[in-house]
Amino acid sequence: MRNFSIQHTLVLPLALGLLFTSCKRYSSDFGDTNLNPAATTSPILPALLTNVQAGLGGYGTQTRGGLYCQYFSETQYTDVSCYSLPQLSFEGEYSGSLYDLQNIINTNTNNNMTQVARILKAYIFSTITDRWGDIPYSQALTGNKNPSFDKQEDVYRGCMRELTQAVAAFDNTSVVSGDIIYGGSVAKWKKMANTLRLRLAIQASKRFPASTAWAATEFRAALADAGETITANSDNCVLSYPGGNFRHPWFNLYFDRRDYGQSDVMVRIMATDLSDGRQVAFGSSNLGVPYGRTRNFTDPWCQANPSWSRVLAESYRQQNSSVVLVSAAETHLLRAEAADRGWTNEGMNALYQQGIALSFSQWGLSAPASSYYAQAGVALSSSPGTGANIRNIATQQYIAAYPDGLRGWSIWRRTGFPVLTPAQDATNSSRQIPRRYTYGQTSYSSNPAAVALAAAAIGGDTQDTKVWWDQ
Amino acid sequence: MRKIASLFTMLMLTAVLAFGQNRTITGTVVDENGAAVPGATVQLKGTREGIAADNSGVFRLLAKTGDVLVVSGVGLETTEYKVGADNAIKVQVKRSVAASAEVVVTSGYGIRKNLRNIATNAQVVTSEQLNVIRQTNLNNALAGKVSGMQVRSQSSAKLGSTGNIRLRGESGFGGGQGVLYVVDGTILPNPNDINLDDIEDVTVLQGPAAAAIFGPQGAGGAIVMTLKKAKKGQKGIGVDVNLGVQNDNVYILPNYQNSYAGGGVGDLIRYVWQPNHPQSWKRLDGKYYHDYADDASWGPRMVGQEYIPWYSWYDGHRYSGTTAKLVPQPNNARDYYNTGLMLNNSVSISKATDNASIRMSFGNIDQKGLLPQSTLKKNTFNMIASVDVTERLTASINFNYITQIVRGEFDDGYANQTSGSFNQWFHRNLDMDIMKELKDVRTPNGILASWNHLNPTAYNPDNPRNFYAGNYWYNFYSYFDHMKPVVQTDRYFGDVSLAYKINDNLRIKGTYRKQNNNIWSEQTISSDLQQSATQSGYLASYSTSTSNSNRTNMELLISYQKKIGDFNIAATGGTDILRQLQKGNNASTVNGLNVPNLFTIGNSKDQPSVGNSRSDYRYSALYTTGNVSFRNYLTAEFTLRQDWMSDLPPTKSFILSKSAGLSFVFSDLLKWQPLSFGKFRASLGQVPTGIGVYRYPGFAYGVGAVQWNGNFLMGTPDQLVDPNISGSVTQQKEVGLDLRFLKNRIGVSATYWTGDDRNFPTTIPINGASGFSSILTNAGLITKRGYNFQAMGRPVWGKNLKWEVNATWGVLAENKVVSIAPGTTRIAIEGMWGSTGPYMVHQEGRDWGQIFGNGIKRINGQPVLDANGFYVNDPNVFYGSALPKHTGGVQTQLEYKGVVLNANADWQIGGKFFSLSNMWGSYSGLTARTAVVNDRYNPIRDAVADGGGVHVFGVDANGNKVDKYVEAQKYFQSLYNNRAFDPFVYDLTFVKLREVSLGYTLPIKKWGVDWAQRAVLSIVARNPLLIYAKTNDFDPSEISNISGEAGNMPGTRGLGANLKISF
Repeated sequence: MRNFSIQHTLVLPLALGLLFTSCKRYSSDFGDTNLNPAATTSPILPALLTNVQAGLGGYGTQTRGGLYCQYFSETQYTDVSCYSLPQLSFEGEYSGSLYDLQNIINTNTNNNMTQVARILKAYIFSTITDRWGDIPYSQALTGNKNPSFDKQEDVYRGCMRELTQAVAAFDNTSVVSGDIIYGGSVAKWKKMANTLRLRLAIQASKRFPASTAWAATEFRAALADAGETITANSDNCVLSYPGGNFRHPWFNLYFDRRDYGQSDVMVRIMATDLSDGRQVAFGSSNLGVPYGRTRNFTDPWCQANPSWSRVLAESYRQQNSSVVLVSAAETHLLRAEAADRGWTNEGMNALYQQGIALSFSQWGLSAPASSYYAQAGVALSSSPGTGANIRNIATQQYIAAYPDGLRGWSIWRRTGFPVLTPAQDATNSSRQIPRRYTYGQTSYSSNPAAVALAAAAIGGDTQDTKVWWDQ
Repeated sequence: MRKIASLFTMLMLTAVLAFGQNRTITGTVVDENGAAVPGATVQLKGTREGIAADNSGVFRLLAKTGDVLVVSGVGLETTEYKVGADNAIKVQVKRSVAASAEVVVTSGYGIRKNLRNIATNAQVVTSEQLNVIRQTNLNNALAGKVSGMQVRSQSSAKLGSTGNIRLRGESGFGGGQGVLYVVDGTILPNPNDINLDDIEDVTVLQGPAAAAIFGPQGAGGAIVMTLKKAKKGQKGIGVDVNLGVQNDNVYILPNYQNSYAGGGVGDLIRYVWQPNHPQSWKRLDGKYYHDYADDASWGPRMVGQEYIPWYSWYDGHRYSGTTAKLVPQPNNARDYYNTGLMLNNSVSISKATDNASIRMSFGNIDQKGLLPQSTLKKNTFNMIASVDVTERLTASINFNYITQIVRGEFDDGYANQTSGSFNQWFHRNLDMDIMKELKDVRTPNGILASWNHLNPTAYNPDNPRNFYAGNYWYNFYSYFDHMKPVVQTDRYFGDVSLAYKINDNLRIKGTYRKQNNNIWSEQTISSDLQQSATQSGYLASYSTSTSNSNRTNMELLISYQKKIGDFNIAATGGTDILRQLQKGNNASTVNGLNVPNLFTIGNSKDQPSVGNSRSDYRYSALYTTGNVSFRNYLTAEFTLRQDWMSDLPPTKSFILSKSAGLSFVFSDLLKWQPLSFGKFRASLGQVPTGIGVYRYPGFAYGVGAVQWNGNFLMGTPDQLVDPNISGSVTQQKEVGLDLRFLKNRIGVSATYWTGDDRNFPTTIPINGASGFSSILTNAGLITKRGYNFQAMGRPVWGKNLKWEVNATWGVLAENKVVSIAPGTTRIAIEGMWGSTGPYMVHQEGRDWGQIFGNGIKRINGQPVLDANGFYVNDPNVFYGSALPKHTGGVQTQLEYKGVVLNANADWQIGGKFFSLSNMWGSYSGLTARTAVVNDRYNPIRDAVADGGGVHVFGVDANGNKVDKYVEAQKYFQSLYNNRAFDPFVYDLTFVKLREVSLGYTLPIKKWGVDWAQRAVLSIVARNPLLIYAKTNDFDPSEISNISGEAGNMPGTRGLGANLKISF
């Protein structure tokens, strides 16, 4: 440093000074830099509720169950109705809608909203277990990365308990906003929950046939609840689409595709077997699409028969049409079945006919003539308490649930009615109608030990394995 | 020559006078072309005194007449120069023969080091090696030339697509880490925005030891580009012009069957005219047609029989109502693609004086693509200037501006309107010339004619659209006429800096660096498309977006260099403060347009979707790097870097990364004649990783952009964030040996490396039943090890004939996912058909990137068949890793009297991918395999009863032998229905001749041209030959996705010419 000049005596300290100043800046934090400007850190509960409800229509318009129970046929790609492997994942329903509900429950700043969330949670869980059987339940939605699977019976008991407790826990003060189904009406939510309890009890009837057993007891308790059940169509659990950015699922399905039609089986039941007036709503014509045939049969058939029946008449699948999830018709038909099973002493026939009439009026149709009820395929000829009327009651439940394919498939699996013939061109090994979905790749990837245990416990993860209530 | 001779005379005369006196000599080091050589070391022979020449090759030192100067340096042959009487001298040195012998390696912050002293396997690709055929894509231009590098190219039909690079396998639990691209110190997000003609050299830094200085962004390795600068003493006026033209043609397509026509049914159908049918159809009454509506080719055998083609049904053109002969169209898919054409021209001007230099370049690329309506126009402008304001103060500027407009759609996903149809859903009897001719044919209602309309049985006079509109597909030509995407990119980057030389040892430099990019994009889909198909899913639409990303670095760097006795010390300390801002706005119409073909957001049928995005990221870093050499053969180097990052939790916002290495040039001590150079090196290093902007502390609730009758929507975030999350480091160690023999005629390098990623901050998918789909946490262990080999040789090195060969070979011995996280043993990454088709996972205990999922169940290796003769599903089949085990390349250069032949071949072994195209292509009877002959010598499409069918072997569920024939159509469709995907998982192994160039230095002097210095004309070929590929249907070097393809664009090859003139 011999040549150190005046320049250097200035520059060097300046540089070092700059270096140290900038070092000093490092030790301080970055302020708000990492704060996302497009998000809030606390949830808005009504917005979570709306988010869940906006997606509920999917449960009432699900196509796969409708294909299995032969409400629908595929018109061009027929693999599902020929029973290709139903390897599907349920995880998205947990981390999506179910956790939004759990979030409302955990936050618990509005009691009535918490109860509504519990009811919807039970509803969604019941549809999941009806599809897969044993599923994660007691350890689900807790952040546990590897929740074990619960027996379907425990899921059913859990859902029943949740519904019962929720109905009891409603208060008369807290206001539920963001509720696009019932507009915050606590009375209607109680009715919906109680009808769901009837549904779950009846769905378990194969395992608990006795009038003193768990299912019948739960059934009677729900029926006797002060909150009442859904008895009028104005109390139905309905999602009415606004159209535009939220459009009716069947409107969307036909918007630029034509993959599904009303099946020839369903048209035969409605138009031929029963001359059922609801067919004017259920389909666009009386030409059902052949069920369960190969693509190279069905596709040309549909072209040669362009008037094949679409699912729902056009006026029922506008972009602002509605989807019914739980109905007064269902309440009555479930009560008729309970009377037939001897679970209650209610007037079976009256309930049954009321249920049918309510179903007609749900579609905006006037009640059928008495001749309708007199048909062999409709009339309940055996005495209540015998269980001998199940064929016609189940068939009416099946018709009333249309086009809710999940319901239709569950009713058929539980009762065997209406009698369905498996697809002629079935591609699965057993060539039988699937009894459940198999567990998805997501379960095998992210929860392998638990799913392996579950698969072993049900005797093999196949589509032919019957779920608990189906055994 | 005469000038030099007279100089010598002068020197001789003055020598006596000056002898014996030490005086200041000012010299310039120049190469054989007279260009200045920066940075050479000049030493007085017999002493240890020496000095480095500056950037202009200029040095000053005290010497006396008769002293011998030893000039050595990177890429130079060591040259001795005897000092004469002159005080201003010019020392001419030869560029060293071995290109890889003495090379400069560039690391971060412009620090350049001699390869001799480098402890890692840094590889340098020179401008000539890079631009063998003037590729426009840096990644492709590097393919095969760097050991340990895998280039995943993309089809050239996708204009502007860059592909990807992997260095030494993959890291992390995602889809791959990606490499860092650095241009003269500025980090670029991709290698596209650079004119390759401007590149002086490319240093590839693999592994954390080499890339530690880059901090968090360098974890996957770095590709460091140094741009050309003006050099003093160049011949001529310093203007280079580079003119290029190249065409581009389809090369590799899947193998199609050419025996059966379109449709889902095997027989022709007789047309019977109906009274409600159009009168014009009456003349077709009684003729036959194949099923048009099914976009498959399970139709009738094509034997030249008369049939009604798709277009006959549309009125108003010259084929209306006519029949044709049903014959195969083996080249219909190939015929669809254009011949691409590219003009690639650039000009540069450079000038350097004693105290200033400037280089400016302008490049223009004008490309017409293989896909209709596709074009790319790119202009690049670059200016690098430097002025020595005083002897100590240097001011520099480095400015780059790139503007690019790309038009056209380059979709290579499922159901795209070219390869998505040709390879998956198509009629093998379609004539593309007629398709093109009829692209504007419409019905009276304006519906564009389609080959995929319904069958005439579906005709309904009340709704003619139902028949005339396409079922799923459009005329491919009409489609591209009615869909107009455009993306415009404007990027500028570069730096301004001030450097101050405090004394000969100490230098300080401040740099302000900027990298700013604006992207504007727009897409229109016409209302004509919406109405011209019934099930295509296309709605008339308009969408647009703009985004800006803006990176600013403030860097301060102090470097110290000193020779103390036998030791040479070089150290740099610095700071780097970064801020990266990104903003974007986008909008698109929803559910169609109100006014047809009026393309504006306001014309949206329903509430348009709008969005905006923002992000802000900062880091501050403090680093020091340097090396200490002992007698220039033993060098220790080190890097320490502390990063503070805004994305990390405030209490743990900093990470320290480090690297250290040792290199030992043992040949200096050995002095064994045949060994020209021998070096042993060892190094280890760590590079930090952050977690990503706005991810900590998580639980950020967004608001949905559309409302339900006034109710707004909000979803709970699906990601859990570990409250204890912290940044992490990835580390590698390596040892290597570099040997060169026989005066650098033969050289080999070998490197063994190991590394691991431990406790990476990473997103681990968790079981959704937890309520969340993933957790951001520190997890996992990935261990890697491998070998890098490089070899070069000069079998012939005569005056007239020169032949050089370079070879690279990288072995990825292991890239194993040892553990992921407690309770998580598998992570799903990417699927071509969701998780239904084979998809990519990371599986504990297996190599990174397993292709996994549905396949054929096997008992003792035998496929299990059900009663129908169909395969039984096994949902847990491991097909192998997507990573190739071996990658490499061979480059050869043969030079004979001004004619230079260059060739570059690259290859890889191993790695798997899933082909969705072949899966659906077989489902729909398009692939060659669906129309072969069985072992009974009958077409498999004949009925089993007639001796046809596919012969299947295997066992039943009990292990008993099954041996039967299955109807072909059912067999191929059962592969999908039963999820038996084994036949569609392929190997990535290939050998490819990628680049060939034949250049000739024009004898312009002979022609009496004196206005130019040099002119070279080359004929070039791109991808001339796929020598070997384990799959016959794709170019395995151009698979679109990490784990497979869903509609891959064809492999292509090109031929062109370049003319380079230096003035």
